[in-house]
Amino acid sequence: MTTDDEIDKARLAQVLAEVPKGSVVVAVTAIAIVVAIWFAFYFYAFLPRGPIG
Amino acid sequence: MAEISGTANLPPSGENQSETSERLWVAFVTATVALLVVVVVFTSVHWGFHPPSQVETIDSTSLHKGGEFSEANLGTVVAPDGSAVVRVVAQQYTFVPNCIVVPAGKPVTIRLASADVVHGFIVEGTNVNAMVVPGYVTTVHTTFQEPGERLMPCHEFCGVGHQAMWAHVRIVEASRFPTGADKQKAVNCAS
Repeated sequence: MTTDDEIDKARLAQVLAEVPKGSVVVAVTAIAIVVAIWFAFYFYAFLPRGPIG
Repeated sequence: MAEISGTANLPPSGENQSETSERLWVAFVTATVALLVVVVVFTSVHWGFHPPSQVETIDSTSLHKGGEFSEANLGTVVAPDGSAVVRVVAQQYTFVPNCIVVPAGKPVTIRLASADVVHGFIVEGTNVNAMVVPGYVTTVHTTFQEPGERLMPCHEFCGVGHQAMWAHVRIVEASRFPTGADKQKAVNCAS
């Protein structure tokens, strides 16, 4: 007979073993899009508008 | 462990895999933020991009009585090296002078003071964009590369006539500015 703690640990290990690759792809893609938009504004809007100080 | 259904094929390092992916994710996000910070710092240091300063104080109730923002000083003065200093008073509901002339391709320092309430100004199509707070002098440094004419509206609501408060910035070739004895005289579009 096993205790509840052992069952939880085993299930936790099973969940943790399956790294959700889909969510990683979604997260990386989302950040890449945001950063790309940031650089697009930087190079095509901010810099062409001239220096400021 | 063998009594637990579905755990027979568990990888022994399940938690480690998860921790590894979390560490990679933290590294990825940290690198992304670091990249953006490096670009911002490089822009600030290499090109001297900074937010406009508003640290100088001035008595807004006596601008008209003399000093830097007296009427004769308002407009553009070009230094011997070709750079220009523009002095403008913002007041309900106009900029004085209402049409500013600046040299193209030369460093331009724009100094504004408010005679009454909080105003703001932005020069269309450029990064020139700052508030004008009574009691302070707003100083903006920039260079206008291309000749042309740009609108300069007030962008801080300053009262019932706010929507009608705007000026023009006329960017002309540096060679069209006065030379010799007239060089120190403040000029505007009407000069």
